[in-house]
Amino acid sequence: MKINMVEVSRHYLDLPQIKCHQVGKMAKWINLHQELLEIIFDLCLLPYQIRMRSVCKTWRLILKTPRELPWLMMLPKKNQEEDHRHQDPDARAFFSLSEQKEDHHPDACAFFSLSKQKIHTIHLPEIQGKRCRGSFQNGWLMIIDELDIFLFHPWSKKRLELLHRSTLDFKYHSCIKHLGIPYMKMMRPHRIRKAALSDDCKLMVVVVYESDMVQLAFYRIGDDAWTDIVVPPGPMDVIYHNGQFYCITMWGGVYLVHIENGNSYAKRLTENMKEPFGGLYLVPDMLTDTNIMFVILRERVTRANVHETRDTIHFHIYKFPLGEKGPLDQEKEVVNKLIKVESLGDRVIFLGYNSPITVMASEFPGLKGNCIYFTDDSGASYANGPGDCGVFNVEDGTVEQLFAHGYHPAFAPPIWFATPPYSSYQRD
Amino acid sequence: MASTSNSTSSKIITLRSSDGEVFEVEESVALESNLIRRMMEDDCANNIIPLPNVTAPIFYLVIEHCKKHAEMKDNKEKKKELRSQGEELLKSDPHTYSNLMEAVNYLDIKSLMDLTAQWLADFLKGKSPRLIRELLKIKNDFTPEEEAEILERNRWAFD
Repeated sequence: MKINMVEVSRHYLDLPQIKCHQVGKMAKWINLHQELLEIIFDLCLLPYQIRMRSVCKTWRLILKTPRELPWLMMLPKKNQEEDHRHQDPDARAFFSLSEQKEDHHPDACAFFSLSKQKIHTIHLPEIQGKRCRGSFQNGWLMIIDELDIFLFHPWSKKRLELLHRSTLDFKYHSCIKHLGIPYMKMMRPHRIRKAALSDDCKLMVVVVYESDMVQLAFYRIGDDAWTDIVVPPGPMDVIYHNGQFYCITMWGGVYLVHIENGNSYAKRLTENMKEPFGGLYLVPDMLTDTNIMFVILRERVTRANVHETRDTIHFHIYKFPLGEKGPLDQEKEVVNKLIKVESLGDRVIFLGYNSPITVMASEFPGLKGNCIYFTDDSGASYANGPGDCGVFNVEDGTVEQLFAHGYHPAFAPPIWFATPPYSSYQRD
Repeated sequence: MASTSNSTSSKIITLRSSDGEVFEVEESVALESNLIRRMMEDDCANNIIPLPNVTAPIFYLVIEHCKKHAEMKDNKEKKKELRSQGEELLKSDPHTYSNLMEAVNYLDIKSLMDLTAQWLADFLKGKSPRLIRELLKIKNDFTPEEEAEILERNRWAFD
């Protein structure tokens, strides 16, 4: 017997006794048992939790958004392309862990929540098959493919067009002569290594590969071209912190990069490192002392018998003071020495293509402090096996794989995504 | 009308809703409710079990959901059917849906609790606070200033 529950409820609601009951109808949802509201709230993604809390005062009072650790974003692949990798048994096993596997869609973007140990899948055709080369504190992403470059916000789905990639194409045509324009186009998404974005989303600086060198370039919304930043040469990482851009070169020297009216100049802040062999990151200490900047060196070794794949084995941590009033206010150029750091204390740092994220472990139950969570930002091919993603324990110097099942994303390396409690979303 | 007995010979449990209607329910269905299970363990099995917090129409809905849920195990088609019916009820009559959830919670039926909560969570997904208020008939008790401040703080979460 097929029962139409709507009809049943309508039938009953016609009874006089029920009609009396309907007087309190408006308030019913608000008075829904607190426990029930919390169950529903817990099932919702963070942005929808924030919306739920904005429905009425009662809900705002009852429902509290827990702070979450950064999410690991795994980009959807292109249709049909690289389908054999989608069949990867490890990948299937990984997704079968997800409680929401029914929602899994080939072009859904997967966000793995470390706090909840759960995958949230979100349908994001806007960035399907594209690459992400920047994940900023305020939740914006820098998305690149062969044709476009734009800023994208996954929740609001807002999109800010940046200048067409062709203006960022190789200026030195040696490559193009030999390999042709199709090659150049194919390489476009891979040419940006790192990106930093100002808080107002209007100014960005990228580390970009030229044919035979690496340099910085900046773009201000509304400009008609990307502008080269010639000094410092050989940049490895760029970040935005307290209204300023900072950059570290492949020799381990840290610079302040100041951009004004289409011009730029750089001011050296630290001496070069003695052995800067590896990936270099700048991490401002946003939680305890804004006058300190960490410099982190990532040491990798080539994986045995696997071409072009390297694994991280260690992180070396240094720091230097940014100065009381900020480096721009200093009349004389003060070049700091890097000081070796033996422990991050309670801090946990998240590194990769993202802007660095730091949290205090004690604020998250079950999280161990003095660790670095890292993802692969080497630009290596993903055909060679699991990506270089893991957790480095500063105390004992060990590395643990992030994915116990050896899962690796089918299309592109995973990227840390800042859930807003860290920045734009203030707690109340 | 309210009786849900059929021709099978399984044991029948008699229950009375808060508005006095008497239901005869198969034991297997009734035992989905941990509340009823506990009451029966306390030796109320031979009497009519009173349910002072559940009205007849809502109890009827709960039983139908329980039956469907028992049928839907390992049956994707049935699962979809139940889900779309739940969603339809939520859309057309959110008030009854909230009563259904309260009753399921009171009767302590874990499987239905999970389902109805998930449907509601899915229903809320992607909707603005204004639309949620409109659909669920909730009054906006924020002042315009408070609302503007919330929006400013959490702009990213809104369209």
